[in-house]
Amino acid sequence: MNQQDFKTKILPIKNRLFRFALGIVGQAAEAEDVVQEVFIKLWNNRNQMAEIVNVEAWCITATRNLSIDKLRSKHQRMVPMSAGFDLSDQAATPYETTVSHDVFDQVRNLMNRLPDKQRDIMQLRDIEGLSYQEIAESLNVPMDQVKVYLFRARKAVREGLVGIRN
Amino acid sequence: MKALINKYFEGETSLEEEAQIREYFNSGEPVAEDLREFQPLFQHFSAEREMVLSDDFDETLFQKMEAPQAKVVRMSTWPKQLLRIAAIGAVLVVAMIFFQKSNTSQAQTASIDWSKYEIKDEKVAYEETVKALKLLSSKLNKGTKKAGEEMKELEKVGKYLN
Repeated sequence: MNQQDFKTKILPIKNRLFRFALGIVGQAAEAEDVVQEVFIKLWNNRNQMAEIVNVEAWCITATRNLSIDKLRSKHQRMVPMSAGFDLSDQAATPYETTVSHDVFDQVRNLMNRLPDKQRDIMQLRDIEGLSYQEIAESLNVPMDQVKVYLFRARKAVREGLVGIRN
Repeated sequence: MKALINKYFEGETSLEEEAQIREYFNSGEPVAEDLREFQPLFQHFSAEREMVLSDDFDETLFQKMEAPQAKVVRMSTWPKQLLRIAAIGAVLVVAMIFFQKSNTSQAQTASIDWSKYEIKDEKVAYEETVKALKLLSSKLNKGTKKAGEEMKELEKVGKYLN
């Protein structure tokens, strides 16, 4: 792969990877770093890349893994936890105190509150327009499971939307 | 359109049908009253698609791609062995100093006559005990609260590990 191949075949998916990373790390600068690291990793291993059938799926997987690494190393958190310890009697998180009342933000919050797999799949399908097959390859999840996760995610978001209206 | 939206929530729509739904809610045309609650969702999807990397991303990336890769330089065997011996020596010296110090402090502790400080008055002893227990319980609460907060953070990371 030369730089021209890289520009025509790989670079066009940069924004897709950026949005996907952003969904996990929650900060634009961090997400940008993730995409850059993924591309440099790909470039440095370009001789082995010929063996990979679906380079886009490889990039999405690498983006997800690197984003999670960043999240883990910085202990960043973008959404309050829904399950586990009940901390409802304690002070609200900075996130909760700054929640906007804007409907648009509420939709974003609804998606962020989904379990991570559901949110990742909903993002890749509804925002990025990927097929079930592409999502399955990118996230290493069987195709039937992709459909199940997507169904659950949409169901939860629908219920949340009714809540916003009322 | 309502049938199509129901199909969407059942997870049965094709990519083309999903594009049709987005187009319907983003066209600027009036939306049917009973479908208005879904509009923010599909508008959100379209707005998210507009989010892009900063303009200088490509330039920075190609600069980094053109930079030569850092090479791992291997040390020759001789200085490596020397470093190992020096490290073992350093650990031994530190351990010896530490042992000597701790022995001295133990000797000092043993010579203190604690009976001089013992509280004889029962009431004062009781008050001191209550004070100590209060301090302990306040620290315990702090720990529980902190642990709860940390668990929340860990959970976010933990979900990805499964």
